[in-house]
Amino acid sequence: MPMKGARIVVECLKKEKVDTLFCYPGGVVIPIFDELYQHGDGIRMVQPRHEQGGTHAADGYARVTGKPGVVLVTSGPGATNTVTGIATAYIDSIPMVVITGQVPTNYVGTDAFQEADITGISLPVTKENILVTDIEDLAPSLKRAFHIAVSGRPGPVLVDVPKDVLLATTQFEYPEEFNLESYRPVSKGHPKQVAKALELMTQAKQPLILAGGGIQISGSTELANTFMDKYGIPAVYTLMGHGINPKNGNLSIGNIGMHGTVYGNWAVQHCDLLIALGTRFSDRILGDTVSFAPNATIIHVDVDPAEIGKNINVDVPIVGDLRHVLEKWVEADREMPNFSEWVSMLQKKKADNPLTYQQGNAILPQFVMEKARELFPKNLIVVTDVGQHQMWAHQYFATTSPRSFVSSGGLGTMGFGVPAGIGAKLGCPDREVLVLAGDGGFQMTMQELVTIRREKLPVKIIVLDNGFLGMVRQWQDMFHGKRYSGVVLDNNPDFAALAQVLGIKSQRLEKIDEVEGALAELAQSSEAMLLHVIVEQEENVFPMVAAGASLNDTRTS
Amino acid sequence: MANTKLSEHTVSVLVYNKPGVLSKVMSLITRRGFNVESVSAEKTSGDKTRIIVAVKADERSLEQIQKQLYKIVDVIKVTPIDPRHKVVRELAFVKVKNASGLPNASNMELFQLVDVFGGEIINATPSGFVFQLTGSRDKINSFISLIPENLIVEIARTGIVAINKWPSQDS
Ligand SMILES: Cc1ncc(C[n+]2csc(CCOP(=O)(O)OP(=O)(O)O)c2C)c(N)n1
Repeated sequence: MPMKGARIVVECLKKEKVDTLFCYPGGVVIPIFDELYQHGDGIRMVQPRHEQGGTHAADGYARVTGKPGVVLVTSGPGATNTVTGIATAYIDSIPMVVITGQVPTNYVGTDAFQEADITGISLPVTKENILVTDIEDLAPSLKRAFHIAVSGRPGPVLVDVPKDVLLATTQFEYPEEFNLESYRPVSKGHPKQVAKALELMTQAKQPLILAGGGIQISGSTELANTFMDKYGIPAVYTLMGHGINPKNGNLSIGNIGMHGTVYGNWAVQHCDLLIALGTRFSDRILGDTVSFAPNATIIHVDVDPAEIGKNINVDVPIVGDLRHVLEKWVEADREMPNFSEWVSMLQKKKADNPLTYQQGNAILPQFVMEKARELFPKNLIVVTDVGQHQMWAHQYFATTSPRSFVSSGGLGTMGFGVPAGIGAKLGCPDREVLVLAGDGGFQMTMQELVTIRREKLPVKIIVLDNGFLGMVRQWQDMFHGKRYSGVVLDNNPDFAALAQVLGIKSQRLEKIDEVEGALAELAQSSEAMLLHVIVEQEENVFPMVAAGASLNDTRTS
Repeated sequence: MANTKLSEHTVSVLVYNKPGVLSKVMSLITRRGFNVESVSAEKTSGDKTRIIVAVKADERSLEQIQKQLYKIVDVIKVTPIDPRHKVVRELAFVKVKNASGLPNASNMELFQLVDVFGGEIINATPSGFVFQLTGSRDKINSFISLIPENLIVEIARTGIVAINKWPSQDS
């Protein structure tokens, strides 16, 4: 049966088993919305209040499910509003398919009404993007988009479809497979390298795993746990690497990097073999590259060859799917030295340098987080915005299952939290979703509270209001003589009242003795709820390694 | 980018001839902070195009460019051109004014120069000439540097094409 392009888009989504579509209409995509209205059964259309929110929501959905988040927007401003969301997903390797409408092909290049060169604009922040100029290419392009988004190192793919292509008709046929000579992600690690790495482990005295986001992306968290338990090798993790949870809890040391723990950073600086799994060695992890892990031979496993040797020289590069490599290491069943002395050393370091804070009269964010962690169920999904609270969440909210810590790591996008929480809840309706946001980032996308209400999503939100753009204020405090330029948020509205107006249950907290009760209510609420917590204004995040400084200089005050 | 020892490197990139692929390749190279010295592109066979790019980079960054290029979905193969076994050619047109009557220059000298460099005079009028030259970038650069600047009206260069030679039998 011949079909219109607009209908083909909908049928492709069904073939890809898309159950949730984050979409916002406009002139050129009306035909797709029309087809969704008539034939969109099985696809939940979620309409954000802003396309950026829609894109972050799709991203949150993808982070917790591993399935691609799917976005549909109109041309011009609709398309450009997605760019921040796409860039956020790109740098964190999140699979996403963004379908944008485009002006009709004969208008492309004429500065027509609502024309924007979105394939040009999104070029550096997409894994692939495609302008479809022929109806015959439409279904194959969507197949290509979904395949590329999820395979190899995942990432966002944008498909730009001009209106005339949506109105043209052709026979609908969805390609069974996608096969392209130039696109063959590596799957298996080179056996020689895999064996060599294992050999090095048998010779190590103080080996350490550096767990990155690639572990959960490749679905290898269980394997990583098994690997750690089997060989007794301890691990530290990055912001994206939350979720490892070996049976032997002593093996999970803590986080590392700019706001990493003293003992986590110490472990890196004192290991003799660093087994880096699915990490890009970002500058937030490395600090000064020269003095990073000075005594260690470095093994680096990543599916993306371009990550190897990019930011740091490594001794044993392994390009391949982490799952395959870990399987091989576990299967090999090698005799390992006993690393328990090294693990005890790390545990001692941990006991000697606990994360601390001095809870006084004003509520501290760390206290709120520790309490929330006690009161929420263990399989909670934590979603953060960006700033100080994100780093405290990284420290105080170590999650023990994969895909449970949702945070904009690479781009550090303020405004990510609330919409990503929406996507996370839609992806995992049976789990509690708790969004932590600062008063700055919250105000960037707070209109999405309306979406939460409209979609009846029981998302829980804590706004930690310190009356400042906290993280920037901290840098000004530490490195710019406390000249608080452009960071004061002294006219914040009452967010609890605001939430109420928008139909969301809420409470405003100022006193320490209100915290526990309110958090308990938040955790138990069967509907969405927001806590506006007035917190200490000038608390700083420690430990901290100044930008570009050595991990040896992990400051605790 | 902390570039330590910069030198010119040439890479040959085979791509599917899709809309936008040239801009994807170029934007990737410039975005990662590399200076493009020369670029040429032409359809080679069927649905494929070969892009030849010369960039200033150190060894390590060069490896990074190659790996990043492979991440473009339509890039089929990236071949670095080995400086020891390469053939490199560029074609240039140089449009110059008639030098007769000018101090410090003569048409005779210009023609001799063209001859020495193995070039051709492909257009001659009372107003001036167009010379054509092929050769390495260095050769063309030095040809141009020898022509008095005030005579040069316009220069058009193709950018280099390059290929790795067959390995020699005895090495
Ligand atoms: C979109 C965007 N703009 C600017 C920044 C720079 N920035 C990083 S952290 C931060 C402060 C965040 O303040 P707030 O949301 O109140 O959170 P807090 O640090 O106080 O926890 C800013 C402005 C950013 N990360 N993202």
